[in-house]
Amino acid sequence: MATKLEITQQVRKFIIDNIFGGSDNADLKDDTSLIATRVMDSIVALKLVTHLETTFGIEFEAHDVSQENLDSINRISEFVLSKMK
Amino acid sequence: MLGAVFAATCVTTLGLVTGGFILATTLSLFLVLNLKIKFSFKIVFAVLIFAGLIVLRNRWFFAPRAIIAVPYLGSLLAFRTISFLYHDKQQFRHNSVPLKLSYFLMLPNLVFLLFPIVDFRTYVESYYRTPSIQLYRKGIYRLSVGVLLLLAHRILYYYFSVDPNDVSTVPQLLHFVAISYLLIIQVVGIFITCTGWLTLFGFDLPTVFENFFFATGFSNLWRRINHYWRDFIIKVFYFPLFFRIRKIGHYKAMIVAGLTAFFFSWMLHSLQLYWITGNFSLSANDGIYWMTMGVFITADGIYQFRKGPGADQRSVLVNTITQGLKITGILVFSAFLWTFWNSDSVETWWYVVHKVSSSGFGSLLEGILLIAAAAVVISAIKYYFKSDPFRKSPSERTPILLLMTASFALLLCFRWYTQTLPATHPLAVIEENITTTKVNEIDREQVDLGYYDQLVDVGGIGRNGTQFRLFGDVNWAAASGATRATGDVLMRVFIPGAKVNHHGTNYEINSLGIRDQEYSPFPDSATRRWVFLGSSYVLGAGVEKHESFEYQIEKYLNDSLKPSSSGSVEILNYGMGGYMLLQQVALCRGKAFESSPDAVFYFCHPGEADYVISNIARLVSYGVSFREFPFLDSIVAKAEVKQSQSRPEMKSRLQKFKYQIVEWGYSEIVKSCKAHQAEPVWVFLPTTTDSDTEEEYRNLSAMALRCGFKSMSLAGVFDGYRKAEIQVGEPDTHANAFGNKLIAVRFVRELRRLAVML
Repeated sequence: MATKLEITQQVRKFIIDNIFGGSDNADLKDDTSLIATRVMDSIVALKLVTHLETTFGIEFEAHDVSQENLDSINRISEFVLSKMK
Repeated sequence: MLGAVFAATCVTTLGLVTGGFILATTLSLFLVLNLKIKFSFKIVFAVLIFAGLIVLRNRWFFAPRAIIAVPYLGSLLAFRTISFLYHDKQQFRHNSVPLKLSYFLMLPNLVFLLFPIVDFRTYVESYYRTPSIQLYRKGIYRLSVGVLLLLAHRILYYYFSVDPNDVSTVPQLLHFVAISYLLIIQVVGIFITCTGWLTLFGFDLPTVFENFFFATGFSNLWRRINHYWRDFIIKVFYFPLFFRIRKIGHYKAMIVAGLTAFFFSWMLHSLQLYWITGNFSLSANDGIYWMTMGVFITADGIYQFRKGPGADQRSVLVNTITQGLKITGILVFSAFLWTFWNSDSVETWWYVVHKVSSSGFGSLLEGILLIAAAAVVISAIKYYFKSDPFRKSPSERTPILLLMTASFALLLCFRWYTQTLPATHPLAVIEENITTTKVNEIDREQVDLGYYDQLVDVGGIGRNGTQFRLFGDVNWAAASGATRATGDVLMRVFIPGAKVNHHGTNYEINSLGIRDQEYSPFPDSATRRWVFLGSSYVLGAGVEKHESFEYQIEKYLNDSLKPSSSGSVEILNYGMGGYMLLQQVALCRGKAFESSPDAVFYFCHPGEADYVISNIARLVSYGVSFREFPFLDSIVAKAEVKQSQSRPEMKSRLQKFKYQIVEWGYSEIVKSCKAHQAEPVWVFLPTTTDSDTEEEYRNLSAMALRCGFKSMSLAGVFDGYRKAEIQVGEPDTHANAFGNKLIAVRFVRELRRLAVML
């Protein structure tokens, strides 16, 4: 089973590749709010969900796609971890 | 505290009965939604509550004080109930009952009936989650932005609006479309103001809008425009449906979910307006607008989803130009779609666009150059203001807050200064225009006619009048049963004996079917009987009977007669909201002479000719026949006006005949008067919003005299007075009691000059 660190790195890579065109952004911390900063929108959320489901073999439900679970890299990692358990 | 303040405000402003009804309904719903009962029971109860509100809203059960509460309840409860139930289903619980209750009792919602859909969980979890000082700065910033946007809207609306009837070239069309789209800042201002108030109460709510004028694509536009609505639709409709059907394939699921979400967007938007206007309208404009948005946004969403990751290899210059072109394209598309959505009908919009299509290649080229120039400006702005999601928000930047504060200080100084100026000073006029809710010249005719209809036809209002209802008019929809439809040119007449209260004013209709005291069927030999014909000004709309100028004139004349003779004057008030020249002609063919008047005073307002053709267009659109008016029938035939046409097109076709119609109308009234041995008198009465009426008075007066009227002018009757001194109150621009007194005093003076006396 993947560790939290591995999950965090995967999520960070995904965001950097899909939103910042591959260039890391020093302001993107693990606890930076992705929704308040409008980094995460519904399309990005769907892409992320698809990526996480494929990568970690988990399944999201509709209500899982929410601010509570996807608002920061930390929260995403914790949620994926909880899904894997 | 928010809930307590709400309750107190509700009862003190709306009254014990209406306010109490709002509180009782809300508390009942809140109680049931929070009980530990089956989820389905909660849904059933909520449905019953809203079914009851629909019954009241449609007046299937008549309870005037409760009916007043319905727009508020619809706005307060409809979407919030859905949001609350959604989170309840997800097992979200919060301990604080007062906080949860305050979700349904948002104070700003009492003022702004069109309110952002605040998510329940976001609301309760945002309460003081940020340090207070940051919150208050954010709240003040939002309030400032909201108010400034509302002021900007007023300036745009009042000084820069374009009449679609005047559009005939591509640049004019672009101007019309651009201004129409920019007027969206009214809704933006309202929503930002609402969230600003809530932020000051401690709720760190997200932003509502995000510079949607600079959207680079359809998904981007959907992302930036009204976050609250979008998040609600995605959460409640899009994601649940997508995840349920994604087995059919991601892209198919996105298409189905996307189009379904926009279908529900359409339905819910109509429902939102239903609570406010009373009309559940599913017009072609609405459907086409929402589904067009749905198609483009869904398609772009799929494209964005499929787009792989990777760095943008283009140079900064190419990237900036590309972005500029995209933004311009989206802006032009959105603006056109917006004006389409806000048109009275598909036919009206098509009529305007079609007119432009024959304007020639030169006009088209000018239009293209204008759009290209806009693209250059937008590219430059985009280059200079690069987007950075991690940049500090404006409310956290002290210089911006200082700038806001300075702007408000300047505005306050400007307002204070203009109060010291005469009412006619240009600066005073500007200050009055931007600080009071009123319509511009283009909308005034339509809203006036629509407003008049409120007295006689309780129900919904047209899109043009919606802006007033956004601010929660307290007593609207209280009038009922005052009129009946006639199916002919008169449209509606008062029901004898009816008693109503409309916008806080009492209207009692006598046995003759007019708003007046009772009179004997025929006057005695010592009594002079006059008839006043006119619209809502003559009716005395917005004032009590004894405050109307007709009543005051009658009283004054009788008081001045008492010492010297036993004669008297009786004035029968045939004024009726929405009645124009044509209706007065119809009255003169019957009802107006039933009581044997000695003189008929016809009150004419500036803009008479344009009002007449608008009135005719309206009647044609209702399918009213002009068989009893062969001249009018022939004009309508000559102008090739048809019921299937849009009103702007009908008016455009009737334009060249308007003065002929007015002259015919005047001749008809004079003919009827002479046939009944009554003296016809034409009275020019400006409204409180008219100015510079001299030339129009001269033209219309000359026409009236030619037709056989005696002529009387009340021009300038309101000169030197501020609108607030002479009008009933925003947005009702009818003359108030003082304004009516001015009319009465001036009328008597002019009467002496006219020597139409006893």
